[in-house]
Amino acid sequence: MVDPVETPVEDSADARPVVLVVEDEFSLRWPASEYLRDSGYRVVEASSVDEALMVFASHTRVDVVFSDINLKGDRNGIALSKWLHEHHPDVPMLMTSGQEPAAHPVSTGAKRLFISKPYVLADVDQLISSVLPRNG
Amino acid sequence: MDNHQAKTIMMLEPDVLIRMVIAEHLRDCGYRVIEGVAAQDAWAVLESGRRIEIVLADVKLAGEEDGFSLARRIRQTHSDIDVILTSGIAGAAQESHDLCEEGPIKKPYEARDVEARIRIMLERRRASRNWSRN
Repeated sequence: MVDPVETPVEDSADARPVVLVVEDEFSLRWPASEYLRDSGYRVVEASSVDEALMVFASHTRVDVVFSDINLKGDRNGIALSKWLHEHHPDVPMLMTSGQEPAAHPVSTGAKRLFISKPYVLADVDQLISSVLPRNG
Repeated sequence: MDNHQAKTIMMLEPDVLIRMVIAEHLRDCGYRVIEGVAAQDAWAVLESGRRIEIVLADVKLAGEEDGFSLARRIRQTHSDIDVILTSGIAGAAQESHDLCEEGPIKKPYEARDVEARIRIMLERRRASRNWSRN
């Protein structure tokens, strides 16, 4: 019998980078998440900023965040970007919106990228892979 | 995408941490899992023409339609889809464990391990003072 306290909460043998997808529209979150899984990532899906913060609160490993900017709820993707900058400054973020980037001041730091909606999923994959820290 | 033999499970669960752990567990067992939070997400997938073999849904869902209503309607319109309703963490863990037993990849998980993993994450969320703040 395994002591539940010793149950591993992360599969440390899993080398796949973890992408946290934050998108409130199911019709966009589903294909993006499925595409990224098929591309070799582990994907955690959040439908709001609150859910994204719960994922971090649960100590789940996240290597990169792919988030919509205009999210329903109290907080949008910009708020998530600020929170991330404060609490997990090493985690890069790819932001997306149907509006022009000029309307959303995206940090010019290397850890923040932007892609316009509608996006091509192969481009999302390429941008995510470009901000991931190189292993070895 | 449909060149895989793996069965597709539409999982509906409004709590992100329960959804994350159960969905990952089912993927480890070889299933393709589509994650949703509301009944309308399942209908969107069905309307897209994507084949789903199993719907695993909590009785409580986001949105207006609950799991009971969704199960009733799917059984009427898609009698080939196996609908499994769950309630609570232990129920979800047990159902996902049973699905894994029938799944293409055998994993040495116990239902109580899956449940314990979820409870650890929920406890961390409770303990965290940061997640609800700006």
